[in-house]
Amino acid sequence: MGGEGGGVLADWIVDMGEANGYLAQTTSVPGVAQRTGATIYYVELYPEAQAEADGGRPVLALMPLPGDVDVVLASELMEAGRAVQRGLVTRDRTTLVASTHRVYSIAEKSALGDGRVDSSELLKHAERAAKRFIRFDMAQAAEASGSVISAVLFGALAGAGVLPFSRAQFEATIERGGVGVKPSLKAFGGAFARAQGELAPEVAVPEAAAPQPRHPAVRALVERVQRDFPSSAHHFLLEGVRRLIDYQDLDYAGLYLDRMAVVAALQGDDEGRLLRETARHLALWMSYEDTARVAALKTRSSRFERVRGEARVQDGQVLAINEYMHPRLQEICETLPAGIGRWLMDSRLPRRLIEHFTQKGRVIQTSSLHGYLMLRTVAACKRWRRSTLRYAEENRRIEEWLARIAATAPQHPALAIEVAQCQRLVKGYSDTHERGLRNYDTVMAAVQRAGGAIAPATLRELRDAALADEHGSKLQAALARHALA
Amino acid sequence: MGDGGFWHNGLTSGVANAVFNRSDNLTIVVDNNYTSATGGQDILSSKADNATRSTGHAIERAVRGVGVKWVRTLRRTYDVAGMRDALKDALTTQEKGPKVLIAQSECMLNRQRREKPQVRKAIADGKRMVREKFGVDSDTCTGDHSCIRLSGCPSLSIKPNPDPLRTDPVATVMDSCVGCGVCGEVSHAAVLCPSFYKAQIVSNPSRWDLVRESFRARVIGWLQKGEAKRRATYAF
Repeated sequence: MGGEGGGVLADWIVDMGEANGYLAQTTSVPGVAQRTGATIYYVELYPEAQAEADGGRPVLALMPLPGDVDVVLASELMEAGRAVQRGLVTRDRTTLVASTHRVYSIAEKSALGDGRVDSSELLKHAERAAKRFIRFDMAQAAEASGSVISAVLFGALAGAGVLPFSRAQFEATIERGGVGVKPSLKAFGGAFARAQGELAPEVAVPEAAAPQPRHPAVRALVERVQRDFPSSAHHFLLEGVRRLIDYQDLDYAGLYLDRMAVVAALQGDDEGRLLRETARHLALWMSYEDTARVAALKTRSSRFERVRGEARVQDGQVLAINEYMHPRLQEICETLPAGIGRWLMDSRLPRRLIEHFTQKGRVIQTSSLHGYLMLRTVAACKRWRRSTLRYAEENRRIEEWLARIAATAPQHPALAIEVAQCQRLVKGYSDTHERGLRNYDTVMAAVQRAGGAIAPATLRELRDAALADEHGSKLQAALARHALA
Repeated sequence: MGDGGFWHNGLTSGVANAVFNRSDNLTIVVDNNYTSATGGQDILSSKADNATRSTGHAIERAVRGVGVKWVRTLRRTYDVAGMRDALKDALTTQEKGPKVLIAQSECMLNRQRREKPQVRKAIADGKRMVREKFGVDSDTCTGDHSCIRLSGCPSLSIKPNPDPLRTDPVATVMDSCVGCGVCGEVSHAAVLCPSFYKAQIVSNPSRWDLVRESFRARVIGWLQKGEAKRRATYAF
C-alpha cells in the first residue's frame, strides 16, 4: 500500500534469487497508489542453469498476467481481495499469503456510524480463489517483533515453502541487506513458524471476572443488580453502574437502577433484549460528555500511561501532553450552576467578553502544572452537575425517552427496542451533538405522529438514514418515502 | 490542480485560458514541490537542486507571466484558519479576473524520507530532538468521525471501540503520524471535539528538561494518586 517496505521485499527476493543461481527481475509502478490502488511489485525468477543449458537469455515479463502467477503476497486484507478481483489469484496455481488486518478506506472511515466492510466475507472470497491461502495478522506480528510488515511477509513466504530456497538462504538475504537486521530476523522467524502452522491461533478474549466490590454501598448496588434483574442483563447493568459511579456518585448509579427497574417490570420483553439495550443506552445517556467529564478523563494517571504507550515513549525520553480544546460559551454555561449559567447567557458585556475569548481553540499542556491544575478545577465542577442547565435538559429528554419505551413495550416490544437504540443518534460535542439531537427529535416526532403504527424496520431505517449523512437529506428522503415527513 | 498538473498542462489550458476568456474564477494550485502522481520526481518548480534538471522556477512567476494579477502563495498549508481566510478573501474580493492561490507545502512523504535518517543520526549523536505525534483519546471519542470526514489524513483511521457499552468504532491516529497538526487545527476551526491530543517526545532531554519533569511528575503524580485512590474505593 505504499510506505510498507514493498520495494525492500521485492529487492530481497531478487537478491536471494541472484545469490542462489537464479536470474531475477522486478518491476513496479511507483507512486500510482492514488489512482489505481496499491503498488504491485512483480518478480520473476528463472534458474540460471536452465538458461545456460538452453543457450540463451530468458525474456522476463514486466507485468503479472491472470492465471500465470504462482505466489501473491498481500500486506492487507482488502488488497488481497483486490488481487483476487484482478484475477491474479487462481485456484490451480496461486498460493496467496496475506495479512488479515484492515486499513480502512475513506468510505469506511467517514461513515457517521459504522461503515466497515465485513472481513469474514473477504476471507471467504480469498479462500475460494486460491490454491493455498496462508493468513494471519501480520501488522500485529510486525509490531510484536519491533519490525516492519515486509519482514513478516518474507518470513511467511519462506514458511509457505513455495520457493526453492532454504530458510538459511532467506535469512542470509536479510543479513546482506544490512538495515534493521535483528528486528527483521525476529519478525521473519515468527512469521515462518506461523506460516508453517506451528503456532496456535489468536488468543481468545478472557471472560469478564466476577465483580468484587469492596465498599459496602457499592456491594449493595451490585447485589441489587444480581437480585432484581435477569442474569442476561447483568453484564451491561454492572458496566452501567460502574460507569455512573465513576461519572457522578453512588446516588446517580442508584437512580440508574431505579429507572432500569421500571423497564424490567415492563411486559412483553421475552428474551430480555429490551432490558439489555435500554441498560446500555441509558448508561451512555446518563453519562453524557460535558466539560467536567472530559477534564476528569484527561487528567487521570491511567490516561497519561495510555498516551505514553501510544506515543511509544522510551526510557530516558520526556513526554509532554497537549490537549486541543475549543470550549464555546454554551459549554461554559452548562458547566456552571443553572442560575449563573442562565444569567451569563442573558447578560450583555460578560457574555460578549467570553465569546471574544472563546473564538479560537486552545492548546492546554496537561502535563504542565498549571495546565493540569486548570483541568482538575474544571473536573471538580462535577459536584454541582445536578444543578446545571445541561443536566436539566438531558434528564428531561431521558425521561421522555423512557416514557416512550414504557408506552410502546406492552403492545410492540420490537418497536420499543428500536426506540431504545435511537439514543445512538445523540453523541459528540458542540455542532455534532446539536446535529444528533436534531436528528433524534425529528425521528421521535415521526414516531409520535405515526401513533403506534410504525414498523420497527422503518424506525431502524430512519435511524440509519440519520447516520448516513451530515446534512440530514437522507433522513428527509426516508421520511418522505414512508409518508412521515 | 497540482503542481505537476500545472506544468504538464494547467498553465495553458487552465490559467492562460482563464486570462484569455476574462474568467472571474479561482484556481488553486496544490504545490507540494514534486510531481507526486508519478512517483515524486522533480519538476520546474521543485526546490531541490537537481544535477541534470533546471529547478527553482516559481509557479507564481509563471502565473503572473501569463497575465494573472491576483496571485497569493501560502507557505504553510497546515494552517487551517489561514487557508480558510485566504480562500474567503479570494472568493469575495471585488477585483475582477482570474485569481490564483498557490498552496505550497512540501510533500510529507518525501520530506519524511529525507528528514527521518537525519533525525535518527542526530539522536544517535546525543542531540536534543523533539518528535511530535498526535492521538485521539478513545474514552472521550464518541465515534462520530467528523474529524476524519474533514481531514484527509491517511494516518487518521478507526479502531474497534474499547468501551464495552459502545459499538461504533473510535477514531485513532496510527504510527505513521508525522505530527503536522492538521487534525488538531481542524478540530479547533470546526469546533469538533476535545479528543485530540499532541504528544511531544523529547529525546536526549537537557538537564533543565529533566529537572522540570521530575518536579512536575512529583506534584502531578501525587495529585493523581490521591484521585485514583478515591476512585479505587468504589471499584469492583
